[in-house]
Amino acid sequence: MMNRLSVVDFIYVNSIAFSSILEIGDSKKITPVSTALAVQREVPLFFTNEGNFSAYSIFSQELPKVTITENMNMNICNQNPIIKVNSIKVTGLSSSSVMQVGSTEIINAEARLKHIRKLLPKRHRTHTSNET
Amino acid sequence: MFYEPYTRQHERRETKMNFTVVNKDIQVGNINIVGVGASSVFLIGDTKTICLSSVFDTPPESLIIGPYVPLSPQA
Repeated sequence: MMNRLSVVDFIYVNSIAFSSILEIGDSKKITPVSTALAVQREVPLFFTNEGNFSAYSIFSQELPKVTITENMNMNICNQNPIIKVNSIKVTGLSSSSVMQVGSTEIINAEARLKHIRKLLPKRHRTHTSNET
Repeated sequence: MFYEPYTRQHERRETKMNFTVVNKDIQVGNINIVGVGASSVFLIGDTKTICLSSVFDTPPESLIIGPYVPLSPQA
């Protein structure tokens, strides 16, 4: 199989974060993995040593695996060997996402996110303007 | 039950599928994307396999109303 050539004249990417990849050119295998604890607190006080991934099951539970058992014969015919794009503008890449200009063989991405919101009991609230 | 593998029935295991793809002209003007997030792919090119998984947990229990307690510290 001959890969096609990707031609992009202009790329603008504002930000890349948390195990994301911007690849210009060909590759064989891309495997980004990211784990995150997203904590929102009414009192915005955070400590640097906080958060233990092993305390939450979603970071360790096994992902369902896809097994390809079908026996098939695939033929690809590239009539035009060039993929042409004039311009690309991306504001953000985040949490194990991939942007690639070029060809690859395998992309295996994994993102795990645990979201926690912490509010104070009513009597401790500092802003009670909306309460009657 | 969500973790059990599916039992698949192979009716005719010997059959081989022939699959032909013809890639004709592809020319794109301008692409504007706000965000590519949580194990997503934006690809200009060819690939063989893409396998993306994302686990996102926001259960009702994740809304904790109570006094300020920091998370358990790093191991």
